[in-house]
Amino acid sequence: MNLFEAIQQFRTLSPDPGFTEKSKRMILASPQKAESSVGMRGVWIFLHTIETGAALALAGFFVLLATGSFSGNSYLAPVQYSVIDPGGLHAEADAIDMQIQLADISYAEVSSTAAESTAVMAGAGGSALSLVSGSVTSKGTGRGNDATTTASGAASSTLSVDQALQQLSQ
Amino acid sequence: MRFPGLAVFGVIFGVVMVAMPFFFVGVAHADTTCALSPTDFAKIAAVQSDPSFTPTEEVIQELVVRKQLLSQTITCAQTEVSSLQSVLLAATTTYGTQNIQSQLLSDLDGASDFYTIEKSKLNNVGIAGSKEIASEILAWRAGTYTPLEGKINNYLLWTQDQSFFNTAQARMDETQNAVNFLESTSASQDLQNAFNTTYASFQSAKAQNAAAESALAQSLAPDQSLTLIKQSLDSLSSTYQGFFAVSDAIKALLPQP
Repeated sequence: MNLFEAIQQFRTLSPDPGFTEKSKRMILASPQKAESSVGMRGVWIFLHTIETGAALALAGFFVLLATGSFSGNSYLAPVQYSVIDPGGLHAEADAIDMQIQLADISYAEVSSTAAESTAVMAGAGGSALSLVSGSVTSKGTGRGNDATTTASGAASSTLSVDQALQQLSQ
Repeated sequence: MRFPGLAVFGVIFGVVMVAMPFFFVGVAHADTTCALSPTDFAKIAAVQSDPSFTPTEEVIQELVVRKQLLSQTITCAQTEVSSLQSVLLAATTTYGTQNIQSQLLSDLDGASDFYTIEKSKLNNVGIAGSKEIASEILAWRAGTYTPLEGKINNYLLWTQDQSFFNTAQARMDETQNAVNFLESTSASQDLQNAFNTTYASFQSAKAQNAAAESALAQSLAPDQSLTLIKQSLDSLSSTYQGFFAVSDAIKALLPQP
């Protein structure tokens, strides 16, 4: 038998009938996957929607984080732009300088008021008030009113309460 | 009613809008200044030198003028107190300083009572008595009211300062985060030195600010608390110079465009 004839005999090959029957029974005995119902399909779609939404939300969160737009980024972003923002720094520093000037003005008022109080206390104790060229000189105690006026009244349009009291006590 | 919440909102909004102008008018009244004209006070000398008055008439006229002027002056002093009360009540008290504010308001109430009592004395005094009342008020103002006014001004200044300290604290926190991050990636001695100096300056400013609060709470002399306030602001200003140095050091570490 040459090789060609041997190959021709393959056409007549068939499985063993016993093995065929056994295999068929095994296949039929294995659990079959039931076709999914309409309800199950709805749940499946819902879960897919949730999954897609969560993915989009997570992506959005990271986009916000990366762009520094997230409200809690001071704890998450390592370097804030405001740290090196010269405009913001200058504005805050200028505001503090203005507050220092305000404190300086208050300090000058307190100092002058303390000096005046000493003079008034001396006057109330019976001593004469400080007389300069025949007129009583005092300094206003009102906030922001440092104008020095004389008791003659010629140089001022209004008197402070202390100036009025000084005149009325004489 | 289908939308009761909407109706309530409408009523409240309407009431607020109607009341708003009256509120501002009230504030404006509280701030009214009191004018004591030198011309009015010249009337005393005019009466004294008027030859048409007999000695008795002169005394009576002078007493009338003095009483009227002293009453007017005390009213002005009371207006000062009312104005300070309004400003003090409007000041923020979210920094645990309600006790200080309450004490100052109580002192102002005492000042108002003092003026009321002094004013009532005017009914039964002569010229010498009116002069005594004026001297008494003058001495009381120098010894009691003027220091109180100083304490109130310092308290108001200090409360304003707290917003600057809060802003600086937020900036310090951000800067500290940035410096820690940059130091972990690329150590820089310049950056670390600049930050350390800034941090120390801010700690000093906060300590002085706390000391100023303590001075206000203890009702120390106005110049003492004001000195501490000024020191804290100077230290805060130095802190901001430090922030500039830190900013420059960070920029030096970042890639240049």
